[in-house]
Amino acid sequence: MEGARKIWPIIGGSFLEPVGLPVSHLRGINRHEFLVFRRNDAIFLSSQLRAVHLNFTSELKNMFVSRFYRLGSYAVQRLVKAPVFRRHSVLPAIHHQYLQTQCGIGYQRDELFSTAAAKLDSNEGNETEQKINVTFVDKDGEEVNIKVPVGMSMLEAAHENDLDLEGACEASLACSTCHVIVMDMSQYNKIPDPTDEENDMLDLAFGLTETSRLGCQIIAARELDGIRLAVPSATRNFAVDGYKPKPH
Amino acid sequence: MVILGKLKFLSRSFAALSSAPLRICIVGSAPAGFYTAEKAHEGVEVDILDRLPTPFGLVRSGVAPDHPETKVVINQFSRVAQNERCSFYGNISLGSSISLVELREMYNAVVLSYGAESDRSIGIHGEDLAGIHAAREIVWWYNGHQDCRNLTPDLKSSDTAVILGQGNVALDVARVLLRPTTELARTDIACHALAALEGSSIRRVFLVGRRGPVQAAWTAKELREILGIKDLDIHIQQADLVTTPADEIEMKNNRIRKRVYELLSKAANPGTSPLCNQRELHFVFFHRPEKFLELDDKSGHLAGVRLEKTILKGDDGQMKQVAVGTGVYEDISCGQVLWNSDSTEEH
Repeated sequence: MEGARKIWPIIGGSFLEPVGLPVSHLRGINRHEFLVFRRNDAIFLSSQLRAVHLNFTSELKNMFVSRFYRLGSYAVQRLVKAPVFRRHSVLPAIHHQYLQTQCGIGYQRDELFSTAAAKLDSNEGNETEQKINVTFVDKDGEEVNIKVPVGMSMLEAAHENDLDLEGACEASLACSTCHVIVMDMSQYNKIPDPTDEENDMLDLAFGLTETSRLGCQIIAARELDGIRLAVPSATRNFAVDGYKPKPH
Repeated sequence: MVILGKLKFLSRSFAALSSAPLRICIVGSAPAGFYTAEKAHEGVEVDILDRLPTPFGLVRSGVAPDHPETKVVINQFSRVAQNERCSFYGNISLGSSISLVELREMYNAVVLSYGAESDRSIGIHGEDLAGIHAAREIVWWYNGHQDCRNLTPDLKSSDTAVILGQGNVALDVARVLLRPTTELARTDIACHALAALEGSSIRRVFLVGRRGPVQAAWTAKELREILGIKDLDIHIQQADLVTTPADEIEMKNNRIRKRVYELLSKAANPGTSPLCNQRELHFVFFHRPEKFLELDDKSGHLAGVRLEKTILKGDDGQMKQVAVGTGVYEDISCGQVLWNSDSTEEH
């Protein structure tokens, strides 16, 4: 590297291997004060560094940028992994805007790449999945149409669309708070029969009807496209033995 | 100018009124309290008080340890509590730590949702004998409630326990007494209870109710569960399963009663030969307790319970059948009696 000088400082009795830097191109600081070295897995920046005004030529900028990008993101990763272990990297508070933003951007870039990749995957997934139309009707008669992917339960679909359907036991068949009424008998018949366990919970549901089901047990399937589900006016959790509700 | 000044003053005072958020105090952090807090509108500050240092009330202390799904609702309540408008204050007892008058001064509204914890007296001769506990105490004991930590029920002196009352709590207690302790060890049952149950000699449990299988208050899920326990011998008298026209009407009006009756009918098989150390569950219908019998050595310990046979008489006004004594008695010797106080029905 043109203009680079190898410096072999000894700090704390251990050899430090310098990361070659075009030191001669740095202006406005004492060269001996600004050293970047690497010891084992730690990156140390000289603590005597004060506000540094770095003036780069365009051809050196990329090299310097990429090096600091690597150092910065490496240092930040170590910080995140082992913040209290002294031997590991401690990037001291350097009051240099450029370096800080570089580290920050480096970290963010990694994140950006990773989230973009994840989003790409999920988008592809949605396009190949089948969705059916489901209409939820609340106690005031207001209707909400949502699209539910095949295989998802009605309770989960309601939660994804911020609809007011409680699932106190989180779909473990231990309550009746996700009770819904299938508005059409022919649609009700298309849903597989309830198990004994579901019937046990439906026994306790408020406002039970002939076409009542638990929302967590209705799984979206292609033949249920266009299903209309009414949400009852109230639900009951923790019923007392023998309690008989009075109609509202 | 004067009018403008007055308008400004009015608008400022209204602004002051509307900017102070409504503050509500909820006494009791069980489901009733948390559901109330959840329904509170935006901008309302909610403080939840409880006399125990931990919240959730019966969800933590009443639900049986082998029913973890019922306790999942704690997640929902925790989300409510984590809201910055909501605060929980434990270890505050209404009446001793703070008075209702003080609360009403501090808050716009006070919600009392602390439930009913004390037991009604059973009102039967001999109820002070050692070995008689309210089912609530046993439930608190095996759930690690701090009030019943040191209950130490005697599970070693006899092989029989009698449970008076036929609801889900009775089934919970029977199940915990009869379930193999290897299964209980996988639940969050209190350690002191698990240790006591591992050394327990209880092998027979009687579930005694004053009315019939159609009137019993338990529900299908819990009944199905106890009838399905491994290596448990179920005893139901065929005579008890005979229904009257009044029973048929009751079943027609109530889906739960009908399904419960069907479950019991299916379980009443002619009876297999009992294996050694087999655990037994006896369903005793149409009997009510008359008195508790003391041990012959008069040490104050329970020896058994005397039951009186009942028949049902229809109550024309409410279409409800009540149990009436017949004067025929039967004794069951046992070391433990656990009775369930009925908060909704009348004796």
